[in-house]
Amino acid sequence: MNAPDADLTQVSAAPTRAGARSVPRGLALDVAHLFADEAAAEPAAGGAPLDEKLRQAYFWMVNHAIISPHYDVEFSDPARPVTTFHLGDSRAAVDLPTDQSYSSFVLLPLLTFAVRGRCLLVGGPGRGKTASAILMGVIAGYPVREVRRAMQHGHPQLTVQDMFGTPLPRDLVNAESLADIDVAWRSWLGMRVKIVDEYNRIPTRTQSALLTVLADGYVEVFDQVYETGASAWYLTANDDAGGGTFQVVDALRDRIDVVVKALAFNSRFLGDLVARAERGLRPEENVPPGVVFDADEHDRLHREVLAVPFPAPVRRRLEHFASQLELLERAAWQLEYRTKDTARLAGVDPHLLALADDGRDRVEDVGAQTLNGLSVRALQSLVLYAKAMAYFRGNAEVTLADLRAVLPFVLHDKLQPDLAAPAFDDPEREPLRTDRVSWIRDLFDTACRQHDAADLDRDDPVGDVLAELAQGLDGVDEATVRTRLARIEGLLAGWEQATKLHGDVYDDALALKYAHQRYSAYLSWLRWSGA
Amino acid sequence: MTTPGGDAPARPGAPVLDPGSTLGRVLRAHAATVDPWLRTAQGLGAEPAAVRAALADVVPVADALTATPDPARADDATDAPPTPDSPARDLPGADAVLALVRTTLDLVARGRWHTGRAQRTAVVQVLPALAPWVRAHPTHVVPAVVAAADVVARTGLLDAWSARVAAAPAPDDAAHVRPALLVAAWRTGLVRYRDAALDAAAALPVALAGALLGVAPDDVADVLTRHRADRWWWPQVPDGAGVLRRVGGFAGWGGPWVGLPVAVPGGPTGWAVIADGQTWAVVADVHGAGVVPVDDLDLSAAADAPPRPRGAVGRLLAGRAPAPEPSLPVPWQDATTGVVPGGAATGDDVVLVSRAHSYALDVVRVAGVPA
Repeated sequence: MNAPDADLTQVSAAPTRAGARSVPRGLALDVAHLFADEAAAEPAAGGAPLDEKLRQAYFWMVNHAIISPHYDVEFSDPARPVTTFHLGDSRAAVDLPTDQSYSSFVLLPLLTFAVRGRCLLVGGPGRGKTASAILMGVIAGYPVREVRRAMQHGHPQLTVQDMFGTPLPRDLVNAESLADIDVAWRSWLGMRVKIVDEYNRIPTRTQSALLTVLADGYVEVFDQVYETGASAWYLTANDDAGGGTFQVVDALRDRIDVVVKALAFNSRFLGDLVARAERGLRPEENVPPGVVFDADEHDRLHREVLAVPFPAPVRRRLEHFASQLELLERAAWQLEYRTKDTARLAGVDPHLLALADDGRDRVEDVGAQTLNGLSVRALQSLVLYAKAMAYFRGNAEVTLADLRAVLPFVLHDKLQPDLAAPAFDDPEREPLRTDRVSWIRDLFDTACRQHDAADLDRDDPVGDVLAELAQGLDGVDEATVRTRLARIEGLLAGWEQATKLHGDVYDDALALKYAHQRYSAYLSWLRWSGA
Repeated sequence: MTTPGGDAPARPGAPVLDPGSTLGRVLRAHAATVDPWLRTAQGLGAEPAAVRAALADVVPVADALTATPDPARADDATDAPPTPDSPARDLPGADAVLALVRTTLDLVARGRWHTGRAQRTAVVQVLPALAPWVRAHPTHVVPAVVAAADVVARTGLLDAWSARVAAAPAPDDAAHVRPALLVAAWRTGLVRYRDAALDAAAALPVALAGALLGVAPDDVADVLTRHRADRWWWPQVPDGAGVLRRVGGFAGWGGPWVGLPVAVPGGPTGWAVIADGQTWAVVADVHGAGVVPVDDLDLSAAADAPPRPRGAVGRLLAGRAPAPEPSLPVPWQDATTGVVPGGAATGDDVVLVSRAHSYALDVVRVAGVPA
């Protein structure tokens, strides 16, 4: 935290992260480094690389705009051990990270801005949720007054027309068809940053209309359609656990990419609040031009994030983790339907069916702790935010640490814990019933440990089968196909007696079935064509 | 020049600004220009008392900047006035004083105006020495010198750097100010600016470049070309065998490490050091040297590097250590723990040497390539 006399409009010209991809890797310095501390009221000619600009925006926010002296998104240098101290009867761990760490309450909204995702800010009143969202609007280049006016405030009487636009009264009287009615669209729909305050106070019907905008990027009123374009969404809620005026539609909740909690104010920083009040300065009215992204830069930022590679070893960890969550062995007879989703659609509590499972260790089994699996949308959000985190940290590709950092925030509302699961009975793990971020991170860490124990990085026969198949079947002869089919059957035969049906085995079995079907169909064609 | 001091900002009770001083007269004459700056500084959190104290601090600086105006430049201001209000002609050097005031207010507002802070030192002590430069291009020189001073002071070379700049004639073109300051920084010993400075020096007028580099103007092009090819060559620098430069040192005496360093090949410069469990890249030339902590260095070439002696065992090993390399022209008797030829970057006749009883490394020119 900076002293209160720091210049609000100052952005450091020095690289915010040594070793980042856009920071020159050599040791040579140039004229820009020599004059780095000159008062930077204007962006440098040519501008900083966008990842550097994004980091500058983050550090400007934490230093000058949002008093959030938290480092809950921790990163550590593998070469430097983390120092940990344990405090109190509960032995609360104070970890001292050895790499640049961040505050989730500032970073996740910023990553949402970069990927034009949907971010839900939750927390008690007066914690800075709305202020944080407004800052994102200003960083997008909108005047602060316009951002405030464009913010939608949820309330129980909010109608679809209030929110999106109203038909012109003259047209309502004179029109002979719906196509003749012009709708006066609300201006906020065209903005690149959209803010909906207290979204859980919006009536269900209006929520459904909001869902359409969030999901598909268009609004429909009186048969008139308005395309809103790609934008970053910020929704706020004082209490997201059903405490709003209206229950949030599940589909709307599922459209939210990331959930961020406003952390408690650290009273040691009350002096900053006092100084800010005395100076009468509003950070959102003093955003330095150097951290504002215009429309072209915003587009380029999104494209550059998408271009960050997601390497296979990290992808495999995510696959292994996700595969643990969906299986419910007693939910069906047919293999494909043995999932928690089958039980949920049948109106049966997955927990009750899970109790009938007596083959697996329900404490060690990651899947036994959840009532659902991961949707495709959740996995897409995970990949996108992991890329954004890697991009923000200046990494050339996504690392396991990047994925681990964003995972709890992306899955926060997407994974439902089975609080009656044996894994929560351990007194040590009791707090995980309420601390969902730590619980999800623990799930992922457990899955990674199991991945390591199974040595799947080196020994992944199913991955080899799928890789062979991915190379295509063009030119593959009959003998080779038969060899591969025998290998698939051999793998399944080997599992028959030697392994429990864990989630990853379930997914692997289905993948082998898929590969077997592809090879069988190709073999039939090969024999028919006489090739 | 820079004195170690606390971080206490100036407090009320500092000398009151004399309205009859040069600074006071300029402020009164240009109140319309200065008032918005004062309001901005106050809006950014600068306390009025701190502003008054800072302005009182720079009264002597304003006097120095206006003391001996260059008659050749009195009517030839190359910088545009800071505001549409053109400074009155009866106050020669007003532009320089206004630039001084603006930078001072900026530093106060940004919390940089502290005793011992390099930027304040640059304003109070360096700018008077560079008065001809400031008078020639006030709005370019003042902010650039103050910003660069922050970087140069970290290497302890602020005095040498400012003296080198002061010895050079003020540039005719304002666009040459920053390149000139960069060249002076490298020539003073900030080796990491070498590549940028060599390019900048080649683009400067030879009279200015020669003064900054310490060579005759007619020799500038040749010297730059030859030095670019051999970083250890420079006019009047002995080119015989021997120690060219010492690098690093014990942390207690201002060096980078607390353990004994071992020179190994690798890294972006070909010279690397292992010390305190960290790898460092060595950057050096005839004017200066530095070490930069670098992660993920490829030290495959260092696999055979001897272990570093430590404690009693180290002393025992050192007692049995072999004699120093007979081919090394060094003024010490010690066992070497690493001898790394320069290779493509530096030349194989120059080696980096670490030894058992020194926290510093030596860059040594040898008669031939070490075996």
